Amino acid sequence: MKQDRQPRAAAGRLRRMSRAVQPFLAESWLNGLGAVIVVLILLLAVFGPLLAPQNPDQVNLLAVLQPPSVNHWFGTDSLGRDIFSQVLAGARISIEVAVIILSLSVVFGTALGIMSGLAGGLVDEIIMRITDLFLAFPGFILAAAIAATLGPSLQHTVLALAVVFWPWYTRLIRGQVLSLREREFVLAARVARAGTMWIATRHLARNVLAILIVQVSLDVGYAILATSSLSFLGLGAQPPSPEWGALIASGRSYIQTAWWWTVFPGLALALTVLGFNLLGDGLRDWIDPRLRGSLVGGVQE
Amino acid sequence: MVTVIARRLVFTVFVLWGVTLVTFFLSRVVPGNPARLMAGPQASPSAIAHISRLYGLNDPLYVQYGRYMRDLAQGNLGFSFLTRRNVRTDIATFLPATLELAGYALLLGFVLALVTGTVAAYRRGKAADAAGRLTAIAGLSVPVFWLALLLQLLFSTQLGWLPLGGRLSPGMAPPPHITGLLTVDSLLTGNFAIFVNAVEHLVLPVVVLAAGVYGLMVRVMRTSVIDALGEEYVRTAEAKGLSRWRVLRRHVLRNALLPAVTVLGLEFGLLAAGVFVVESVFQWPGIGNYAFQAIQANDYNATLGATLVIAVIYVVINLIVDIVYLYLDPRIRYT
Amino acid sequence: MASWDNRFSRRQFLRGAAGVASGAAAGSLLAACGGSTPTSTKQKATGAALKRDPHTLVVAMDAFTADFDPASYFLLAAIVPDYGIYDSLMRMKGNSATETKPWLAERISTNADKSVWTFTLRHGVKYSDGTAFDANALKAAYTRTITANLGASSTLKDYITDPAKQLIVKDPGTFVMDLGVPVPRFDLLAASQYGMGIVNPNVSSKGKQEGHIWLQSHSAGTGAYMVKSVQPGNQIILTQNPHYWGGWSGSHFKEIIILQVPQDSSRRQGMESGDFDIAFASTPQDTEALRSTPGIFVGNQKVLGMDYVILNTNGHLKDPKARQAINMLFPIDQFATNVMKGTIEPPHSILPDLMLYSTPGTYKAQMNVAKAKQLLQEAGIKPGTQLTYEFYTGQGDSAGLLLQSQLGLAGLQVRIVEKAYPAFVADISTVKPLSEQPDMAYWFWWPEFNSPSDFCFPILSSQATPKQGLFNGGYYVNPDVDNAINKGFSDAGNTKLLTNLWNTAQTVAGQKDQPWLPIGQIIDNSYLRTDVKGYVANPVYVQSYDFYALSRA
Repeated sequence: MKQDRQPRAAAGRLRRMSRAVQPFLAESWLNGLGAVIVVLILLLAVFGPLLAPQNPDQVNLLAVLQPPSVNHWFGTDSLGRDIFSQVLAGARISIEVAVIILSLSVVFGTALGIMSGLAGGLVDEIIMRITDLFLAFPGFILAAAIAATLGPSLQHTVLALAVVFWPWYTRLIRGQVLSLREREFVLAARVARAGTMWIATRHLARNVLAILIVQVSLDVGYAILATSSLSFLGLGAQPPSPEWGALIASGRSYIQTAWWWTVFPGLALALTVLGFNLLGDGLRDWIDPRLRGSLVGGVQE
Repeated sequence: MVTVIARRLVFTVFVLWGVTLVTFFLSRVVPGNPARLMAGPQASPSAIAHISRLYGLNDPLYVQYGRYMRDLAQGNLGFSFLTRRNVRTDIATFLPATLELAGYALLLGFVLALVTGTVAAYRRGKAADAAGRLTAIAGLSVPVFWLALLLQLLFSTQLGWLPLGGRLSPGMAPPPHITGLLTVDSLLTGNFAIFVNAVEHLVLPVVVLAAGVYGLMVRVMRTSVIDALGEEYVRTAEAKGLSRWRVLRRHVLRNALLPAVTVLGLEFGLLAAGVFVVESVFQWPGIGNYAFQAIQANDYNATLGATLVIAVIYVVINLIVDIVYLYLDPRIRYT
Repeated sequence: MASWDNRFSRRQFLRGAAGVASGAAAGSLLAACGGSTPTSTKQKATGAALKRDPHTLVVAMDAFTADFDPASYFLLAAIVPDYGIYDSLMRMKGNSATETKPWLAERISTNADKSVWTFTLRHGVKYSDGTAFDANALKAAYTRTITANLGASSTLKDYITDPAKQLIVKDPGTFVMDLGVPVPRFDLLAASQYGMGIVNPNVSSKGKQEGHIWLQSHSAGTGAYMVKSVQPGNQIILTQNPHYWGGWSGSHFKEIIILQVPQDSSRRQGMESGDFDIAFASTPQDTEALRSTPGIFVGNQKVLGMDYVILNTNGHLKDPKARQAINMLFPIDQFATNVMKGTIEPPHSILPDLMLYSTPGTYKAQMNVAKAKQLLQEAGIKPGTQLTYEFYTGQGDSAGLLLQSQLGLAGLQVRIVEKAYPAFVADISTVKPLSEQPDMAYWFWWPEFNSPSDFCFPILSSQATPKQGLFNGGYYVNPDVDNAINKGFSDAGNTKLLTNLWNTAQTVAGQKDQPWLPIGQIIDNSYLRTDVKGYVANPVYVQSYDFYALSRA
């Protein structure tokens, strides 16, 4: 019976959510912090190029490895490029990358999850086995192997990470579908001879949306971190890309002579991921405290 | 219950087979000539052809796969083009280093998470709770490679307190090999100087890895302590006048440990990713570094072997976790 | 004459078997540019104290290759350990690029036309397992190198096509090599580090590929040191060869530990903290800082090698005028001084200084944007044309970025492509469709021994293009250069002829029909602790250390 109320409650919450940002922020100052950081990063990602004092690619041999100063807030790199401008450009890259990775994995994973949950039987079995197979690999290593195989580049890394992320969504959505499948409104819709697709899109989608939002917000941080880690290792964004992981890798050789090259991009990265994680964590707790602990990628009970 | 476990085991075998298949074909998709890699980049075409024949690298893929599976059944993981040794030997050499690192990271993270989680549970809703949550999320948010570099810069370069990398200082001979874990082996053989040196080298990489472990576990700890505190028997015990500390020890903590096991699978995933970069930054001769170099160098067998070993460990851990879950609640149905 | 089909080369692994052995390696003298003046974080009066056994020498290189088979090792990454393990018949003398000294051969003589060389072998030389070295063992060892076909055979195979007939054991102490053609400076070849190492022939019985596999983790040489243990990707430990013919009286290191330390900054730090005795150079900033650090010596020996950017004569840069233009757009002097902080030296010719027949002055670096634009126009290259520049990770990134910005001044666009090492090498040494050939590629080269023909053949000869699998990646064809190269091999004794030919070749290639944009002559900036004595850098023996000659003060 506890189950019964959940989908309706979730749908109801969604409606309230849009009118209830205030209580969300008030629940914990950490939520507010997360929201502020995320909004800031999104603004920087969108307006970065306009705000950048210089073109991030601008080489200046006379201003090489300068420490932070009024002219260069984050200092310059080994070719005299302004690091602050590069970090801004990197924000845009990180957000773009996260959007693409999550779009791909959410769309693909959700479609598969719905199909699996609704179809049942052999189709379900096959899809779940394949999903479990992908989940059997530690994600990062699979992504590294794929990126290395295809050839190091940001595009390949994005693809590799989408491949790693989608199984989580399949499992998550399928779990939702299973628990909703036998609900009355679905049966009623069936009786009314509504098409299965219609059922899927209208009812289920609305109910899983809340879960999806929470999961996605939790995953954005991971997507950005994973991309940066792979770029740091040389498998992702290639120079002269101002992607944060690549910047940190470049700055590493100069860490004794130019600490700012490593520190500032890393700080930006850490703060961004922190913001998204705080937000996601807060959303999870707020939307349904009972979901806590079960939305780390497992099947929802 | 037995049938469920049996199903699980069959499924696990299937997954492992699938892992070999995927990794094998992934590694073969790679552009580049492994024979050339093996022969050395300056070898003549005839030398390369000779090596191709020697190792059967020209055979169709399914034949190569069949051969690989047959070897695997005999415990033979093939020959590494990069290190020029058996992959099995390589893994036996490098795995203990990673296990030592990951083991201590897990331990440290667990202990810190337990302390923080308990405090947060007892001070629920207050500043300490929020601080706990912040540090947990920070632990999961901070880029591992960046943290590693910063700690290296601060504690090694600037302060000179800790070494820059490696497991032992150059010139320090390792203790006799018993487990492959330097801290254990050195203590077992009474080599205190080596023990201290090994610990010095472990500090930074372990701390870096533990951050993520801590982040993941704090919430779980907090939740389970809160749940345990709400249980009847605890309230009864407290009503009976048992001191808080004894209640903690006897009831709450023991029950908090089990959920920690359930996130072990996730912990492993986190550690697997972290180990890759930490071993790279600290030049730690473990399996993460080995796998990474193998991937970079298109060393088929080494990549395959390392990935397989890591996947096997992962699968086994998940299996254990599932069984524990099952033990916790036999009513859970598997979907 | 020589069979060139397997004359590949290995020097690409100079700084960083990086592409192969270590993923994140960035060890490179020439990695990037710098400007500010940092100071070392640890300025002590007398340098860091040594907190370990003073009889152990610790060498930190960016990546080593554990290949102890003289028939195959051809990489600098392998030379560093192997130079202490294997002997050759002769060795280069001191820091000379042209004089040799006896080594395993006590005396060397030749016949009238210099085609037959006789080596009187040193007495009492033993391999590390105690077996005796003599002319028979030498013949077996060199025969193995030639027939095993493992890659380092080119030096010998160029002249010894029939080892049974051409390698003659006159008596156990006398070895004769009948080269079939005159080779006036065969002593230089006999002193080469590549392919001339002498292994114990009994390794052939130790397993697959004539013992090659066994030699990946064991050594079998007559040299001062032998392999004690190998941890792939981590360290190699060498220990004294008890049977060494040089004996162990006097002060010598007991153990040599060769570490793999891919990170530049780690190598610098290890020098400052006293963890390392010798290290491969780090970034130019670090080199500059360490020069003024007490207790540390920074080498500055010119090496017989050049860094350059290959210019592809297929495609956009077909016209020599276009290539001249590129040469007028890169600020070589500024790059070497301000950016590389003196860790390379601006080039004076297409041949490195100290090379035989090198004529400084045949190349003059000049920056002239206006002239360059004019030349580009004459060559028919429109503004806005895009050129591709390729390099492999850790080598040539900053030069590329600078080129991009400089060529932009002349209206050209540069697309920078970074590749992993194996892919990069494939692009410049195997045939690719025109669309996949880079217009420019960062490369470097040095010879097996001091000979401009040996230096130029694999990178400039019309017979050494990717079609032949060699490293003339720009498909450069120039009859004057070919002529000098070929005559250099066949008419080696005719100094006057060769001087003229090489003069012409250098003038043409340096000014009129330029195959590349020279970046600079390579300098060995090894870092050493000042308490390590006996180090003499040799221009031919690039960045290798004679461990036996070193000792702690």
